[in-house]
Amino acid sequence: MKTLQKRLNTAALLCLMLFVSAAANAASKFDGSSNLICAAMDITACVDGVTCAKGQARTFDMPEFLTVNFKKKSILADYDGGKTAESPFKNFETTDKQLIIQGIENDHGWSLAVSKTTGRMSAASVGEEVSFTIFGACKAL
Amino acid sequence: MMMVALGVIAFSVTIPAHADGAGAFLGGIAVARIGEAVRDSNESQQQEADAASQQAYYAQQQAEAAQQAPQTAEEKIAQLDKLAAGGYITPEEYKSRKKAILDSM
Repeated sequence: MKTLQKRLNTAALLCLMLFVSAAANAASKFDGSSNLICAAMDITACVDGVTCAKGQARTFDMPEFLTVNFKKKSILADYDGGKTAESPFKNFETTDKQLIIQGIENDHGWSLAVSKTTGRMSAASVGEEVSFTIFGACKAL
Repeated sequence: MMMVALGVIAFSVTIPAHADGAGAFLGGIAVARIGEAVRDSNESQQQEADAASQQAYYAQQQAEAAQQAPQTAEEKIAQLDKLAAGGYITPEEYKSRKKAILDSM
């Protein structure tokens, strides 16, 4: 009986260790060590002096997936069946909860934040006339 | 209209490409496409609003006309013709209304 109890305790401990290790591994993947693929789900955009609109990526004829390549220091998106667009960044930072990437491109400043625990993503781009936010989710590659 | 024309000019500006030939994304195609979509949606919303106000105007005109003195059968049929031509009544409605006018003579 004692042996069985001991075995059960060992199995439970092992499961706990695996769970903690998996959780730590999942969190560590959103720290810049792995590239990410992100799905753009909801977009809200405003044009100065015109109006604001809300929709999905396809509402705005936007690529639905984007890749964050940390080696290349770039955010890449395929569109129109073969063309590639990219937004380079110089650096990224991690806080306790978020991975944050920022860049400046074509007179627009942008930020992309990914939750280190859930992978949920939000990005924003602001400029003189057009500003928008993208909400979605990322997965480590 | 002027605003739309200016928008087209603003978004037709070439999007700078990066060293390896890829176009700019978050400050490039995203801005151009999103900007264009928002402008288009605003334009279609305005068109819908214009159509609604025009329809309301015609409805008011009809109501005013209905309040006027009794019409002759000829006047009634002429009015019916106008409504049918404007697409405000279906051909079936036109036929039945016209029959009713003629029957009342």
